[in-house]
Formats: sequence, structure tokens, C-alpha cells
Amino acid sequence: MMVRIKQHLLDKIFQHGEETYNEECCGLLIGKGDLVTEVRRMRNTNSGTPTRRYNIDPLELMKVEDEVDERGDEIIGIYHSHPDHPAKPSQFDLDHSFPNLSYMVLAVEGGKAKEITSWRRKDSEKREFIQEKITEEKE
Amino acid sequence: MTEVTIAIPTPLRVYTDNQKKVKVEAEDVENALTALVTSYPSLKRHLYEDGKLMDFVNVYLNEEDIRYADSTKLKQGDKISIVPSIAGGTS
Repeated sequence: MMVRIKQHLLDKIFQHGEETYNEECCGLLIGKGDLVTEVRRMRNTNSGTPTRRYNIDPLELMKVEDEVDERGDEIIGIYHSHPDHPAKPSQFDLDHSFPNLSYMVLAVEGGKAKEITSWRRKDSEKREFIQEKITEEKE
Repeated sequence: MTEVTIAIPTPLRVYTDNQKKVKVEAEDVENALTALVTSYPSLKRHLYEDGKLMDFVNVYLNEEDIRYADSTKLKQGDKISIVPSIAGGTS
């Protein structure tokens, strides 16, 4: 299992996580198969505890899905940041996960992007996440 | 019967033979979703738990959230969208 992405797209995720620190950022990984060709920022609509939670507005998600469907791409994953927490998915992340998506988690420490990892559900059950390799595509 | 389209989100398309949209015939939203999971039984456990729509599954009729109004009557050509509730964060 792996996800392929160019460095400048990873840089966009890092930048997003740093800009929203100490709140969580979130967004979509758009592309085809295991190749990310676009990173789309989404609003974190969690108004209660955005420093440790994120929600993506379903209506906004639906509109992006329609848009990328039109051009033959897919939403292949989700990214979000963990401010001052490790780049590992939490139990909460697992509980709220869907199968067949890549979940990138960015650790942001003291406002600086530190590490990014990617995970997929092991199978269609919500048993565990398996880490997948992030392979850098040539620019 | 009324023919409507149900939009399937990317992560669940593997359970609908990779179809993005599925046409079903039904009079209301609840029956449309039942027709969907009858045609694609492996989809059912990703949408329902104990016979109810899971908390993490949103249902829109055109652009209206109708998660809790599943007896809503359908019109010819309506589009139902199943939209995952994407959430997470540190524990």
C-alpha cells in the first residue's frame, strides 16, 4: 500500500497545517488510484474544539465530489493536522474512518510542520489502520 | 414508480461495482436506499447499523439534508447523494 504525491503538494499540506495552528486543518487528496494530483483545502467546521477535532461540511464535500467526478478524478483521501500531537491516527480517527481512503496525518509542533504519515483501514472493518508509504513523485 | 439517481461516494463505490451513480425506482427516500442495498448487499453494513442509517452517513436529496426525513416523497429525476461524514482529530 502506498500513496504517490509530488513534494509541492505535500508542501501545501504543511503550509495549511502551519497556518491553522493551533487548530486542526483538513482537506482532500484528489487524484486517481494511488496518485494524488491535487490537494484541496476544506474548512474545519468544528466550532467546539477545533484544536483537537475536525469536521468537513458534507454539502461542501458533495460539491467537490461532483466537480471531480465531472473531470474523471476521485477523492482518494483526507488529510488533517494534529497540533502538538504525533503524526499517528487516534482512536477517534479510526472510529470515524471510511474504507478505501488514504488518511494523511500531519504533526505540527509549536506551529512548525514536523512529520506526515499516511494510513488506510486494514479492511472494511474498523479494526485498525495500517501505515502506507508516501512515495514522492518527480516534479 | 419514480426513477431517481443515487450518487455513491468514492470510498463506497467498490461495493457498487465501481458505479458512481445508481438508478433505482422508489416512491420515497427510505425505499430508494433499501432498493440500493438490495441490489448491492455488501454496501449495507457501511450504511446501516442495527437497521438504522449510521451516524457517519449523510443523505441529501438534491442539495437538501434529508437524513431524518427518509419518508420524503421523490419526484422523477431527483438525485439522492450519500455523503460520508468526515471527521477526526487527536484523541
